[in-house]
Formats: sequence, C-alpha cells, structure tokens
Amino acid sequence: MAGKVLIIDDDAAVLDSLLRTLHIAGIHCEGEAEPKRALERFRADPADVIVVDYVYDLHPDFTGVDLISEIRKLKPITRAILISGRIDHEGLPQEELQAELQGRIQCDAYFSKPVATDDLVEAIRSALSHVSNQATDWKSIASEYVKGSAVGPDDTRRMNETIKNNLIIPPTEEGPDA
Amino acid sequence: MTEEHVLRFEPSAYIQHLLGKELISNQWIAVAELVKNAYDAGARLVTITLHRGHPQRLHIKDDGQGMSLSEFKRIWMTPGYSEKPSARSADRPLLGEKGIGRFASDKLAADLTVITKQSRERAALQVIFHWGYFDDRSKSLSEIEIPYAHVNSDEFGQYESGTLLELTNLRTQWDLPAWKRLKRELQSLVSPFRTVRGFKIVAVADGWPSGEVVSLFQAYPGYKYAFSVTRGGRIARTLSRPPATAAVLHRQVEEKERSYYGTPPFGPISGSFYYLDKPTAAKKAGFEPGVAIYRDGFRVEPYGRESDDWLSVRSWKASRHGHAPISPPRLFGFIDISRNNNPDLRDLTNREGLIDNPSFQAFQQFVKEEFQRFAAIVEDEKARDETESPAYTAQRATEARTVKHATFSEIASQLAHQLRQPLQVIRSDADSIEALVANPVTIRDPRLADSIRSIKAAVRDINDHITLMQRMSASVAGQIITFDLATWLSERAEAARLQDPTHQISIRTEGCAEERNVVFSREVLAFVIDNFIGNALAACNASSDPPREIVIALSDGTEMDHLILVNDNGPGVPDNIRPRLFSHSVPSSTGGTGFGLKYSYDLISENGGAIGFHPRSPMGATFFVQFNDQEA
Repeated sequence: MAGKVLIIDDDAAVLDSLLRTLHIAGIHCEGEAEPKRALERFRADPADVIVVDYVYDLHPDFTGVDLISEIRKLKPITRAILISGRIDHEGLPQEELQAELQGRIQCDAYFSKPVATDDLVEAIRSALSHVSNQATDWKSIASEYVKGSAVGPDDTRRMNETIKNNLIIPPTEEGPDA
Repeated sequence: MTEEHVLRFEPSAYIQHLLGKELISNQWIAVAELVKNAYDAGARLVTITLHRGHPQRLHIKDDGQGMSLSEFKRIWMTPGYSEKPSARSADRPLLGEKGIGRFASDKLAADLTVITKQSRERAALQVIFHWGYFDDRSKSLSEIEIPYAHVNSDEFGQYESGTLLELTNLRTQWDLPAWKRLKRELQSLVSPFRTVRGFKIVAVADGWPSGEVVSLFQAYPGYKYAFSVTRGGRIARTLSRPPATAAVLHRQVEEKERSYYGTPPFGPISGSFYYLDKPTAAKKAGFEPGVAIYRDGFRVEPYGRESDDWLSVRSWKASRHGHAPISPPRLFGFIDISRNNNPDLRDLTNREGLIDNPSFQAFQQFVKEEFQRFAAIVEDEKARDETESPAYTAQRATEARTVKHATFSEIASQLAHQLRQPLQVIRSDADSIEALVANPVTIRDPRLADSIRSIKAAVRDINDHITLMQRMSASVAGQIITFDLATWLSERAEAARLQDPTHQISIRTEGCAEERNVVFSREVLAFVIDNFIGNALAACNASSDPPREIVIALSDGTEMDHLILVNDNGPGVPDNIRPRLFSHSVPSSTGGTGFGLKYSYDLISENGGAIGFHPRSPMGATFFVQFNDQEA
C-alpha cells in the first residue's frame, strides 16, 4: 500500500525492533528517535501516517501529543497513531494521557506497549487507506475541473478542504528545546 | 530683550566607576546584576564559566537576543537608559529599571570584552572596555573612546544569538569558598519557592562543583503559613503542616477571607512563612533562614539575610526575653512582589534594598503584622500539639507513611514504564521471528538473527531493572551501622573488576589505604556507589580511546565528613543531559536503567548528604557523594 509512514520512538531498541517488524509485515516505514529531528524530517519529507511514542525522556515537557500537534500544523491531514508504556495499574492509559486522548488531539489509534504487530499493522493500513481515499477524491474532482465538466459547490468545498489539509505550512515556531 | 542661555551636564568619565565598581558592594551582587541583565535580554540560559588558569578569566554567556551596533549604542552606551531588546516572552517582566546593571562588570574585572550577536547577523559585534581609562577625572564620559569591530566569533553559531561577557584582569582571585558562595548566591537569586519558567543558570568551574543552579524549597516538616492580599484588599490565609498533603492536615486560619483596612497602597502581594521542626535539612540544601523578598521570581537584597532584620524578628524575640515561639534559625519564608503589580516598591540605586517611601512602609508593616499573627498561631499549635500528643504523633506517622507510599508509587510507575520498552522489543521481535520462520523462503533471513539478538538485549535490560528494584528495596530497608568505608570501597572496586572480564579497564582506589569508620546506611551507599561505578564502566566501554580508567577516591568532604568520588575517562556526559542529570529519568545510550541517578539523589538527600557531578578535562566525568555520620 502506497504512503509514507514515520515511526518516532526515543528508545533505540524499540525503534529498531518496530521498524524491522513492520518491514517484515510489508509496511515500508522510516524511523526517528529525536522528536525535534522528526519534525525537521517531516518538514523536508512529509509522511502520511506517523506512529508516535508518548514520552520522550530527553524532552520531559514535550509529549507525543505535542509532536502530533506540531506535525499537524505542517500538514493537518496527517494520520497519527500513539503508543505508550504509561499505563496505570488497571491497564488504562495514565490519567494525564487519558486527558490528552480525550482532549486536544485526535488519534487514529492508541496502543499500550507492548503492542502486537498485527494490531499495529492493521491500524497503519487503515490510516493509509484513508489517505489513499482522500487523494483519489481530490484527483477525481480535479480531473473534472480539467475536463471542464460541471462541478457542484459541494465538490468545490470538498476539494478546497482536501487541498488545505494537505498543504505543507511553513514553520512558524521552533520545536522542543530548539 | 533678554537673551536665553542653557547649561548642560558634562559627567566626568569617573562617573562610570561610581555607578559600577564603587556602587556594587561585592562580586556576588555584581554577577547577579549581570545575570538579571541577561534575563532581561530574553535569555533562557545563562552560563557562568570560571577559567581557573593563570590568570583567571570569568565568562558570562547568555542566549538572549544579542544587540546590533545601533542597539548597543542606544542601550549599553547610554547610562541610565533601561530599554532592553524586546523580551522573547511577552509575559517576562523586566528586572532592570536603573539602566546601570552592566557597569557591575567593573566590580569584577578591569577589562571587559563584549561579544554580542543577533540571529539574523552573520558577524558578531565585539566591543572592548578598559575600565582603567575611566580613571581620568579631567575627561568627560563621552571623551573615552571604546573600540569595536565586527568579528566572526566561534561562540555563536550561524543562526544563534546571545551575548558573551569576557571578564579579564579580575579584581579578585576566585578561590573555592568564593566560588561556592557564588553558587549559593545564585541559588538564592532565583526564587526557590516557585519555578521561574524558561530560565536557567549554569555555573561551571573546572574541578569545582558545577552544574545548574537550581533548588526548590522542599516540604520540610514544620508549619507553613501562606497569605495573600488582593488589589482590592481581600486577604486569604491558610496554615498547613508539611510534609502532610493538603488533604491530610490542612486547617484554615480564621475565616477564609478578610478585608484589608482599605486598598493596600503597595498593591497585591503574597507570601509564605515556614517554621521548620528541624532546619538542618533545609540548611544542608543551601537555604539560609530568613524571610526574603522576590520580585518577579528574583531576589531583592538584603531582605532575609542574616544581617537584615526587616521584620524585627530578633528584636521582638529579645523583647520577650527569649520566650517567643519563633526561633529565627528555624524561620524561612518569602514575599512575592512584582514590578507590574507593585510599581511603588522600587530598588535603591545600589540594588541593596527598596526605597523607603510610604508604600514600602505600609508593605513592611503589613508583612510584620502577618508575621506576628503567624507567630501567635505557632504558639497555639505548639500548645495543641502537646495536649494532643498521642493522636498527633499517630497522625504524623500516617503522613510519613503516605509520603513514603507516594514515593514508592512514583518509582513503581516509572519502573513499569521502563520495563514496557524491552517488553515491546521482545513482543515485536517474537512476531518477526514467527513471520520469518513460517515461510520457507525467509527461514534463513538475516533479520532472524537481528531479532534474536534484540530479544537477548531486551532480556538483559529487564534483568538490570529487576536488579535495580532489589537494590532499591535493600536501600530502603538498610540500617544505620558503623563500618569501615575504606575497606568497603576496595570491595566495591574488586566487584567492579569482575564486571570487566577482559580487564581492559583499570579500576583502582585512592585514599582507601587507611581504615575510615563511618556511621551510615551501607545499603544506601551501595545503591549510590554501585550506580556510579556501573555508569563509569558503561562510559569506559563506550570509549574507544585507551587507556580506560576508573578511580574510586575517598577523602574528607569540603562541607561534610566524608567524600567519595568516582572518576572515569569515558566520553563524558552530553551537555544536553547535564542540567537534568539528577532530576529526571535519563536514558542511557550505553545501557542502564536510566533513573538510578535520580533515585540516588533522592536517597542521599533524604539522608542529609549531597550528590553531584562535574565534567573532567579533557574528557570523562566525576560523580561524587558527600555525607555526615548519622546517629546509629
């Protein structure tokens, strides 16, 4: 399935392992351990789906939710999957993370570590299919424009939104600990 | 027809000395003034570096906005002008109001080189001041020529900004006590009672205690009285009994809100008094008794110093013939004011006090009355404690258990998070192996070997965590005993050699030839020293440059009875990790669990000791712990 996938986890062993496993499962993806470098990388080469760890030990004030938020400033339509080892004694995400998940950010999926490869692969494929559908939608409407066919106001609005959401917006502020 | 004439002041060059060298009373206040200037320039990090060669040099570098030539002329070269480059954060209040803080550099050194760069500029502006040129009283200030040039400086990267003050020909030689005093002064410069966001001070001197200057006032056992008055005159007061959590023991003092006798002429303020059961731990952490004033998070001198009795605590105690409930050495506290909210509370020109105007007098009177009220409450509470002694003792025991449980809960939570990382590796790689062996084509895929190696490493990681948990558990259960520290350290060194089966790392001890009996928890020290040694071994293993060496040294402490240092010549601690070495979970690229140092810090602090780090030149690290004998 076409589409770029970027994995961000500051634990090098976890990152290596996830990349290896996903490659074997047929997902072509790249990895980055540093959230700041991930932002720079995204700016230069935007991904369609990001798989983001929640806690970065070297950036205690910057979480995976912050990273998703920064990335979506660059490309609002980016699909995001959050993974975390911050789980309470009942197996639920810790209180702070629960609030984040219910609050400011919308994730396509959330997984507690250790996540099963099948579950992660399914979530990534599902996110990629949304990206693919949206791109197809945009292309077909644009093609109608080119052909000079009548295009209704709903189509125009949908296309405008799609273009806007896919736009790469120049950065306005620095990332974590810049 | 009358002819109009005008006169103009023509200040002598010597006025520069009057504003700097002669107005600032000591070198520590001078450094503090320059740090405050950096804060006003939008800096997020100020690094003070003492180069201890001969002659000594002092560098004060910030990452503020820097100045262009025109800004430098307008801001630096105009005494009494206090405009600062627009602060990075709109809510950062300016500390300087006199426009003379920069002349404090004259107190420190005869010569000053300023290198300042703005991010959009390629070259830096370099300006050289020889303060001796200002000795000539016959010359006017504007007749002294100050050379400048635009230079390419290695100090700032292409897109970086900031200002570096290079102070040479220092007026006083810095020795270890003076350096420690500077660290203490800087520690108290920024309020330990609340966090000043986005601003750090780092002090570095090769071979002397170095690192981030930050320390928060803990919930030491005792009484805490917090009060505030709003702009409209409403007063709120509460009393609590740290370290109890608010829910455990928290009593309102009188009614929640009372009206002031009108609108406070000094503006809204807040503050807290702490009367500690035992001041030892607070003093060991570097806090001096006294009620200090902080404006926008920065200390206003000399309030709260031993020499200053602005709340008349000592004279009041004397008037009660020593029977007052408050003993000054156990009293700590702060009053928060701000430049925006309390514009009438202004600095004296020498920055050693506030101007004694009607607003200040009303402010002082108000705080004195709050203090008297607090003293009366402490007296009542003490009486209550005595009459309710058994219940009180039981409650304090419960509170102590609550605090302990909270600490364990935090550790357990962190450990759980850390353990889930290698579990993720095992889970993912097991899935990889399963997928690869299921297919005859991939059964010899080299990624199989990668996955197996990865699983083995993850298992080692989990085992490290289990060992850490066992050592933590032992450290908590450890008893205070008398033992020979020298022999024990030699045993730790021998144990470390066993962890290096190839004998490529030289591990030796210093100062362990003679017996040294100490009274302390051996399990606590075992946790800390084994952690230091484990980190040193990991650092040496990460270094490709032989000879690799670890030295475990024992000596008398500079401030406490015993000092243990663990030196290694590995690659050293990366700059970005140093400031939070002991305060956060720090991932180790060379293995390890990542939060052994944080727990070591907590353990040693709980036992009244001190722990620290300084880099070694040209490479490597020194971790040290010092502590006093305890009561067995």
